[in-house]
Amino acid sequence: MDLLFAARYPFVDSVSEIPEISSVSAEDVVSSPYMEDVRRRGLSRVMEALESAEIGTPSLLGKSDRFTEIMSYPYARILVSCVNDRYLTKRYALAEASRAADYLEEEDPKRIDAIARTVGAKTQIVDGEFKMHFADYLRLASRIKGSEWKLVNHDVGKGFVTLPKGKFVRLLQNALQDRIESELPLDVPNAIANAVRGDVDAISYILADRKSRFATEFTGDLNPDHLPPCIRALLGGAQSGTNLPHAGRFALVSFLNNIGMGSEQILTLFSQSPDFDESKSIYQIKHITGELYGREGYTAPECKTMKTNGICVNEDDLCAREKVNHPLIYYRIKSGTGRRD
Amino acid sequence: MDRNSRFLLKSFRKYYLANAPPMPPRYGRREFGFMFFDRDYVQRHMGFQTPADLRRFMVGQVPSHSYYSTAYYRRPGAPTMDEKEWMGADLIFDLDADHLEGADEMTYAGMLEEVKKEMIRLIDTFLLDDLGFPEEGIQIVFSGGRGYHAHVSLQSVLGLGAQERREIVDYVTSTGLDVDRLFPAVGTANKVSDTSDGRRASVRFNREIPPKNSEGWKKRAREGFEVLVEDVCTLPPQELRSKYPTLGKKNASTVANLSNDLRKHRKFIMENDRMNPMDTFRQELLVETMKEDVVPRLAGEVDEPVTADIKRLIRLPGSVHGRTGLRVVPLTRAELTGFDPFLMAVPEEYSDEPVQITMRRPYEVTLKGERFKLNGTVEVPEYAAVFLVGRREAEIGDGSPDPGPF
Ligand code: SF4
Repeated sequence: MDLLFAARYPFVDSVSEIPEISSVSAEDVVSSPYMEDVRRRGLSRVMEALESAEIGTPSLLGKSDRFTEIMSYPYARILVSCVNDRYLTKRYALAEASRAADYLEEEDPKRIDAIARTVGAKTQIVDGEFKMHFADYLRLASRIKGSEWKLVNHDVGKGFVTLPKGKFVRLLQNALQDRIESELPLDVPNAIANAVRGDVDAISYILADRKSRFATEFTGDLNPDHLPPCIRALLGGAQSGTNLPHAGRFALVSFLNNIGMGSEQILTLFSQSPDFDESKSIYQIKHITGELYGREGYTAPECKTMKTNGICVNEDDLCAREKVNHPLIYYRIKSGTGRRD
Repeated sequence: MDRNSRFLLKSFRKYYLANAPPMPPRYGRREFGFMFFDRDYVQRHMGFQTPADLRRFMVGQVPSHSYYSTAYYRRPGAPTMDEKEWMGADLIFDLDADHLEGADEMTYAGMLEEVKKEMIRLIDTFLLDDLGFPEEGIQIVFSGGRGYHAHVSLQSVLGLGAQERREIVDYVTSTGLDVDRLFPAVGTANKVSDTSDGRRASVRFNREIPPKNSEGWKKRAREGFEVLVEDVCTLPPQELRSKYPTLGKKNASTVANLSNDLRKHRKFIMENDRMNPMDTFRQELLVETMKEDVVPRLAGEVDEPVTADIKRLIRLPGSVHGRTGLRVVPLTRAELTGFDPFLMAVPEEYSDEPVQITMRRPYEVTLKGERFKLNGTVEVPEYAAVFLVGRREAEIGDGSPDPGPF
């Protein structure tokens, strides 16, 4: 494996077999004065992930650039492991995966294939055609919504889905994210943890600040007990850092807006999501609440639509009542704010 | 227990004495569930650790209906789903007579024959060709009742979630299929003309058709299109318009012109995989007909809730069905073609000894090759009595009130 490839995809197992890499110990990385660049880049990998869910792609022209980029990856993982926060871990994995995807889009099929094999997806790349086993396809695509991701709108034969390169890479990104996330946190020996304490504190500080910034802004008098089970599940998902599908976000935002929450309040709820990007999210939220165009927002989808989208979950006795055909009706009954018109 | 149930129980016990149901793969991780002749609930959350345990249970308890979970659990016998801990589930395709159009007018045998045809299409077209399951990876089962199941227990599908399984259902049933993707409209600059503000090219959109060597839905759409083209070119107008309601809604002259035009350009279209020589509105009419009339007929049938349910109980192969007495028969794809439940799913253990029954209504059926045309109080072989009593077409005895067990 060449250094350039390793620098782009430092998570590939065989990277550690490169002599220049394997000869460096973890102690060196965290404490050697020659490794300062490595540590700086490692810290910035985590900080960038935290701030924007993206990690930049620096120049990899020189050999030392490449070395720094490779070694900063294990260093970043040590930092994330020491902070050991679910939100940070998810967001970091997301950012690393999308950084790798940026490179993958420019690669030739052979290299893409090599990466595909590292994530355990059953793939075939023949004559420039990208194919993935349909079960892997479903596993990786089901979290991305939109009719263009439906299996029925793809060519499927002999168990394999034929995909354009862009979609194939997008799915690999999801697989990489899963893999990177599943490997964290690492078991970090005390001596190493002590050596990196400064950087860990810096991250923890930003992380806490970020969390509190959103937490204090939220002063709604939302009683979770009044929410229908579907909305409660979506809200719980958003707050625990699960990626919500598009239909789920839409339902949640429009519902919260319909019961009187403003865009900013809703934003604070979403801030826990690992791919949370403040500027993008506020745009999406304001689009749904109508604030963007200064008009009435969308009405939350009815139960039937929720069911079709697979986000009607944990139906309870109240849901079963005939007149409850809309999550808002459920809420009005529970909260006693029934419309009397 | 009434005398009907007592009779069925006795026959079922004879069956289970000679036939222990084969254990399903990974049986130690499955939940079992049963119904009985003298209880009106399903006994769930049972686990069997050895084939002998199951056998003892079947002979001792003689359930009327036997089920096992398609899911694997860490603790299959635990009383709640959370404690069970889901580990994965077989992928199930279920087809039964309930969804058949006009099922009410069909005989039981007629329905089963129809369902079998659909099952064969589902397996050959979707499971083998498109999804690429190896034939030996698909276990087919006659349910003993109104249909057939296909079980896939391959490692690759066990971990699929409900939403992902629903995607497979949508694939098979063509739900959400974008027909415009199969017949894309491709723009080409037509003629270039000079206007006051410069040169302008007018763009014309032509529909392409899926090429010959396509796979999946493109392949089916190609085949469906070939049939449509053949029909438009050759069928008498009356027949053509009733076969394709979309064409039926158009003026007779519109359809006649379409036929003429298509006959002229058919060769070019099929060889070049695009409809260019035809007028745009005729191209659109063909695509519209594909969407409305042809594609729905190409779709497969499958019971969505069963496939999407990752915690379902399903009939245990090798057991007998309490409503028919027929065996739940595991089948290979090759066996399915010639499978006749009325010949092959009647257990040998039900004897030829005559049993007196009273019909609730006149009924006709062919079992083990023998034709029965029945009415009133009659004597039939035990195997026929089990079927008729199970299906509630007849009662044991001469129609006088049940004297009770003693
Ligand atoms: S029935 Fe309606 S309110 Fe209840 S969970 Fe489903 S979508 Fe929500």
